[in-house]
Amino acid sequence: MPRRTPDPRTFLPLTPAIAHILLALADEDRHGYAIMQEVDRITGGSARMGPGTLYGTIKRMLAGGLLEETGERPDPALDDERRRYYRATPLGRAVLDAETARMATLVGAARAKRVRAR
Amino acid sequence: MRRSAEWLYGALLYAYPPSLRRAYGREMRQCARTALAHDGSRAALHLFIDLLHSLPSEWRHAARRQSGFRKGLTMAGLANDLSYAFRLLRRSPGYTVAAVLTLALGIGANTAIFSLADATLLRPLRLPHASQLVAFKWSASLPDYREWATRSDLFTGVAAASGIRATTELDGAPEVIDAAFVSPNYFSVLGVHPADGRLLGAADESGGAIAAVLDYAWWRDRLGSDRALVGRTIRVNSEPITIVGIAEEGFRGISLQIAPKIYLPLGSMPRLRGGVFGKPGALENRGMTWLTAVGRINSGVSVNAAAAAMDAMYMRQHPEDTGPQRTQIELEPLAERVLGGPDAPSVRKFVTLLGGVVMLTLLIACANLANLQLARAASRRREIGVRLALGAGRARVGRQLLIESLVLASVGGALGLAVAVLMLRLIASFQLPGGIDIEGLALGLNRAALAFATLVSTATALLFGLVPAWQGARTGPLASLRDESRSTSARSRLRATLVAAQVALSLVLLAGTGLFLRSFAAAVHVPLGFTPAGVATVNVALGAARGFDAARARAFFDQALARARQLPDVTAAAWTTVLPVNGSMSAEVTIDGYAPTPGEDTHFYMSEVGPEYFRAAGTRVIGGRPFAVSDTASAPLVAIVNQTAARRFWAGRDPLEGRVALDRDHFIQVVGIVEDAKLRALDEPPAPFLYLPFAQASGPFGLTRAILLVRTSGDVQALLPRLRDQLRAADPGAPIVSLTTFSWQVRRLAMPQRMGAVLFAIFAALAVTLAAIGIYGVTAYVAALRRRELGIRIALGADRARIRALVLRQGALPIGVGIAAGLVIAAIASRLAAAFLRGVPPRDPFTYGAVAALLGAIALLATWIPARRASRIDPVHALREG
Repeated sequence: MPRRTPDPRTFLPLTPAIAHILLALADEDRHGYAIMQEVDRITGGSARMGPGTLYGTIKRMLAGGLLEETGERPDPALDDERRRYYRATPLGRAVLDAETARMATLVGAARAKRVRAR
Repeated sequence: MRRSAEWLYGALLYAYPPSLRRAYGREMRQCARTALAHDGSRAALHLFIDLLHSLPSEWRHAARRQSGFRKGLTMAGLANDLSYAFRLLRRSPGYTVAAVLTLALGIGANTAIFSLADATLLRPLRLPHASQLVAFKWSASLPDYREWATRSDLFTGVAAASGIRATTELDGAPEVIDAAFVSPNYFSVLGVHPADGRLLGAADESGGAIAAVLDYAWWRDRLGSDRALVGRTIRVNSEPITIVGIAEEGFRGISLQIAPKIYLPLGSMPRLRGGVFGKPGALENRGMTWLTAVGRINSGVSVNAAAAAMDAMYMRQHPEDTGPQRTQIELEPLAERVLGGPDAPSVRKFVTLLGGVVMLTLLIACANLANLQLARAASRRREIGVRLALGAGRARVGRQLLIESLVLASVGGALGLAVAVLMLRLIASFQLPGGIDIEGLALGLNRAALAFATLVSTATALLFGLVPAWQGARTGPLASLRDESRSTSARSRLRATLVAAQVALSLVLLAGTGLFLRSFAAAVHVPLGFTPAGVATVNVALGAARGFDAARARAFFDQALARARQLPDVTAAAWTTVLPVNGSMSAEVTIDGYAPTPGEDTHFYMSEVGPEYFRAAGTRVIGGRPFAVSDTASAPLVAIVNQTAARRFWAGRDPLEGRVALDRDHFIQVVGIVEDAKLRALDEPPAPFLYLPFAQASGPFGLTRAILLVRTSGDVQALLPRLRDQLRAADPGAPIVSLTTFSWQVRRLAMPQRMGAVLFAIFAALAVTLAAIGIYGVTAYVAALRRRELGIRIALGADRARIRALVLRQGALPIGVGIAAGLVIAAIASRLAAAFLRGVPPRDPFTYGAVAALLGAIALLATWIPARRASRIDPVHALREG
């Protein structure tokens, strides 16, 4: 954990990979493969994430204090191999909140100008 | 497949910056494994795309981090170069895709052939210290083997094995499999370990329950890797046997032709095999040589010394065996034996030939890439000049260019592994000389193949990257800034040389294709002596051990034949003991009224055939009559000979009045003459052949194995399942070894020619395409360099046809030189292919002329397009641009 919590807004805007990983970890701790699956699910398969992108991003997010590891344990739904689990830190959650707020503002402004999602 | 994909992914992780791989490599592999297990090939594609996508950004991050920390300059520079190279390649996708595809095809083909060579020539036996293993050239009887096994001064151990085809019951239906009886020390001499349970030992020879060890691949593929099988009892030839273990993965016996599925103790042979082997004392008979002996030689003993010592011992123990015909004990390395003994040189040559072909293709690809790189280097001179002017060292610029090549080669190599997997699938559908079962080799991308692919990729990068790197580094900063595109003539000379080389190598491949195609066409038109189209063949194995005594077998043969003939569209059907192309049987024959010269070979190939055999097989009866239904076991014995026998042994006499004897005194009347038929190879010289009626057959083993030939006027594929039903109905217990078409079996005869023609054609097409691209590129490049000059000429009144001729002439020179050089190389190299060519000389002038003309035409077309464009230059534009 960094000693001084930085302002979450300095992280914005998030890259899609970071946003998706934070979103995937918003409700529960997951291991790498479960994150990939969850991203696949929440984006409806439009943004499939591979291990290279995932772990490169995780590495930087850990360094930036957005994530932390919560130890190794097997996933009962998969094989009995031990896997490392990840959790969003309070900073990570704050960053996701800030990004969501930023996007909500954007969406609101777009709606006001009658820009529609097609 | 999944496992190799996972392995491949693990290897490709090394392309990431080490910090990421060290921290997360294990987890990334874990993810890949789970994804592959869930999603299969879609996941594989996704993983590959992710790899290409994330590699550049990871290296960019690594570079940023390192320069931020001011860590060692060199490493930072390297990471910078890498990320720069990735960005640059992404910026010119056309060039990148062309280069990567070219490399993937070249490297993939080489990796595939390497796998084949590895499994046949380099390491055919995946056994510890395989070079110590020797095979006794001649088969041995049990007493022989016991004598040989005593020589512990020469061998660490001598093992013996004997293969049979046995019937086992799986899922309630009889299934014929290859099995082997092995001596108790078989596995220990070879150095094989159990994958599960235990292997066979001396205790298994003592009678009682028969123990058996399963082949790993069979256990995995046919029995679904069921570990509970160890300890269970199954039936082999109706006898219960207990499975005690599974042999090591990858062990496939001591032959590349046949891999036994079940290993049984030597002592169980009489019980399981029956027949003459079941008689008391049969195994002690010295006349019955049924064992293949394999020894592991003591270190320090040479193969020749061991053979001499063994032979001396044999002579001491068997003083009665003298004279020129005496048995001589010979040893050969087991690695040689597994390649098919006498066929080994042929296999070696064929694989070497394939290796040469793919190597040529890769060389052509390299020449092409070097050419592309040169063209790019020319257009990048300005960029390089700026870097030099800003103070970059020449070595640094050279390294940058080399790293670009390495990145290209790595990506191409990775994609090449996919190409290799596809190629291996294609190769597995062929057949090698020597009857080597390619499918059984289980060719795949193992560690050795991956290492080879890496090596080839790196070598390729150096080969096509060094020249441009050197040239780039040599550029003077001022010269390149002053003038961006006018190049020295030295560079176009280099490019012309590369084109000439490409044309030459392409011509070699084209000539090979032409020769193999002609030879394949000739092979297809060789008169076979039978007409395989429209004929179905069924191979059955009966025998006392499977509950078939003579009466039951005879009843089955009659029943099955009657039922087959009643099927619609069937025009003829007959049993035979030997099908052409599917083995042979021969015997020494005495010919009435013919005195052989001393030492003359009077062996006849022979076969016992039913009445309609010649009609079913499509073999013409030239004189006399075919066998008739009346030629029964109780009728007088009759025989039919082939034309060669008639000519050789009845010269000037009428063979139809002749008689032959198999045992010197029981003469058999010859009643017919038929045309010669090929037996094993298309180029074999015709040999004497003797046909006897199937009904009068009586071998020492009784009639156990026979083949039913059924000719139809309808669809032969549709006949196969109906035939199976009829045979089942005739006797549900009769094991069917194979059910297929005659044509399919005959295709194997022309297999080397077919394989050569197909593979050569693929690579030649690739080479010619690459060469055409190269020629086009160079001509277009040179024409572009001379654009201004050509413009001036046109402005001064040169006529356009002349301009076209000018450019054409310049392009034609390297082509002409290349074709000439290619013809010379092809003529020399054709010697390697000569062994596999049939009906066409290796230096066939027609083929050489035709391929030279074809290549010339393609090359001229590739020159003509830029020439035409040059002749249409608008002089005003051309001059203004300058």
